[in-house]
Amino acid sequence: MTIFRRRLQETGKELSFEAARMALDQAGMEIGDINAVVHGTAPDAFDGVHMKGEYLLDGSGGARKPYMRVYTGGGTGVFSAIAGYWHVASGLADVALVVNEEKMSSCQPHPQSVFAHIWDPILDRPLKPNLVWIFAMEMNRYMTVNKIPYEDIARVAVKNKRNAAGHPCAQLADPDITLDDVMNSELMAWPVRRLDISPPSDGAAAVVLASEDIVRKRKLRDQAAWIKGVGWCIDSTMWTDRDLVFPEYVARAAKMAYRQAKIGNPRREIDFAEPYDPFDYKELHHLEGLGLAERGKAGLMTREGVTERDGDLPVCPSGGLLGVGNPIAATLGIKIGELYWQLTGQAGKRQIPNEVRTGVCQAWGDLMQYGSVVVMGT
Amino acid sequence: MTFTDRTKDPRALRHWYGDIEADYVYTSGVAGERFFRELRDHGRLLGTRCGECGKRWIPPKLFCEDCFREVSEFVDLPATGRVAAACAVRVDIERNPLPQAVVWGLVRFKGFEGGLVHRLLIAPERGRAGLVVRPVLRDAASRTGAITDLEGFAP
Amino acid sequence: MTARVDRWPGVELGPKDIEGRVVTSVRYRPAAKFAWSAGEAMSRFLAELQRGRLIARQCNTCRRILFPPRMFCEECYRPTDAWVYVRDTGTIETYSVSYLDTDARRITEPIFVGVVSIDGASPRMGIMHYFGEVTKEEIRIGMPVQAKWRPAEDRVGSVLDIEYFRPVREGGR
Ligand SMILES: [Zn+2]
Ligand SMILES: [Zn+2]
Repeated sequence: MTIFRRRLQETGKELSFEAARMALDQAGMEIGDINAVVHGTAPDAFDGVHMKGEYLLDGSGGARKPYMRVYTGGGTGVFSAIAGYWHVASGLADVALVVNEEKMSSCQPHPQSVFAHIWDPILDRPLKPNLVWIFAMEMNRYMTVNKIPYEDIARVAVKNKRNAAGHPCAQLADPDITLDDVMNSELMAWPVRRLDISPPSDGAAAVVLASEDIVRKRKLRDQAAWIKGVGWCIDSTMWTDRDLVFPEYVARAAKMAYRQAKIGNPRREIDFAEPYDPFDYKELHHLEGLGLAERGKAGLMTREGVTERDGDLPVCPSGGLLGVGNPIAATLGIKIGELYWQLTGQAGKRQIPNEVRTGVCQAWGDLMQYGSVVVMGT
Repeated sequence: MTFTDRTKDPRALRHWYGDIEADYVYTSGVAGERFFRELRDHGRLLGTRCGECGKRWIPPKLFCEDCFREVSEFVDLPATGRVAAACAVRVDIERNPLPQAVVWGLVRFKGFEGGLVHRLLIAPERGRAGLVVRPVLRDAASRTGAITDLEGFAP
Repeated sequence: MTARVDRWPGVELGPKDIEGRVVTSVRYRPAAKFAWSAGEAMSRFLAELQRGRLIARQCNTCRRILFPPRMFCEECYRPTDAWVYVRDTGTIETYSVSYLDTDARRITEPIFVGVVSIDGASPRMGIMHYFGEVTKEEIRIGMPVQAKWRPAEDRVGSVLDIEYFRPVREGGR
């Protein structure tokens, strides 16, 4: 995983290479050991290169190999690992390399500009929407219907930005941030304030997925974590017809992953979670979708400290997107990456003090309709 | 099963007009920065050489795509290259005829992987593979550190 | 991971590096122009907007009135059956008061924007639109609203033929 910054000098290919090289070095592998490469990256419009998957492939180690690019909006952060998993689980590859990249700084004056083109051209675009609007609308409905005070949402931003203080790649770590800082930050689109949002970033992350055979033969068991279950789901594109209070698509994706991982009671059987947190309310929304909090109660859990690193259910011990940064697909390093480092005891200053055996991560994207979920264990 | 209602009058079917506006600044990256600075400031063309397999790459890359190793050695390109493929373009991007055909080619360099796509400063009928060419630079004052600092390649 | 990040920290650039041309760069502004086909459902929807009316499609299997209209029901996955007019009144399902424009630039006069579910369509079926003639203090989820139409001669067949939705006041509706 590379550092995440608002603008990095490295090109997208160079970022992809750095991340992939780190993953190979850690696994003690060379590019020749890789049977297939999956590249994950969000809309072409950020990097400003059409057919980004093809453009980035040499940096991702995909040249002259079975290679594909996957894309499910922000959901790509976890979904590309699911696609990598298919390659290995199906037996088609012994070792797959998953590389995710985002270079949002190419886009001027702000990556927000090209988000205008994800909307329906006839129904939505004439209104000149800003992406923050839909999240503000979803957050408003979530907090109003569930009667969640804004403080309980803002606490998520405080927790995650503090958690990120131990992360070597973090863009926005702040060990001293207070609830007042978040609640008094500039209003962007009520109820969303500046510090409720994760920033756009440049960065890349990569992971090596190997079969049990390879892990045994290469004596990698000590440093391996296992994928136990995967799930994904997308809701209707007609977003103005959906109830925005509960993320049904996350619940369905989680159900699929839990069934495979043989998890009957997620709140009891899962030790920590890395839900997608580009906005602070999304962590709460997603905890409810993942069945780790009762509906409308994730805010209360946060207030009570349950989700702190030393709490009963640590949530976003990495620092999340709010603290580490949000180079969309490259958040692979914060979600899948953090599960890996925590489960193998390599998280350093971020290590959860209690022993952890099972974790779940999730990403979210498209027009607030996509959920991808991976359960990992020791 | 198909739609139960269909418009019979095609004039009633509408279109919605729009564009996809975007504005970009692409920085050259780590290897690219070195390449374009040398081109702008000294009129030199550089490639990189992989310390592992010895392959040389043009344009220069921070990594060798074969060994997947970091590459840090920069090397000069030979003074001349050879046209690998050429075409004569007679219309602009909107398909308007050009007053004069423009010749484009892929130029390869001995001992280097890859090559450069650029304008060939020749008459259209001379555009063919095998032609030996040399880079033609813009004058130093007008160079900006971009591929357009090269006018093109001439025999 | 951390070892290599320490050795290779990456090079962070700021706006001055770009504007001051400290690093080399190229600028590009694509000119991609489109004519999107409105298709069956949206062509009729836009024509009705121009006449000052909202129209939906009905699915006879799930009995839903689908708004915005579409020629297929994504739940039953079959063609929808009939055109149904719906009203130009509805309820605010959610909203935001935005101090950001399209390009994330700060604006001082906020935009009131949200989702209105339309009376006569199935529950929660609505569209995104602006709100007007309402203050930050008054606006709330559940508020009844009505379309404020542009004058007939100014309508072109666009969602902007409705200027905004405004609260239904006493004596209104
Ligand atoms: Zn090499
Ligand atoms: Zn139906």
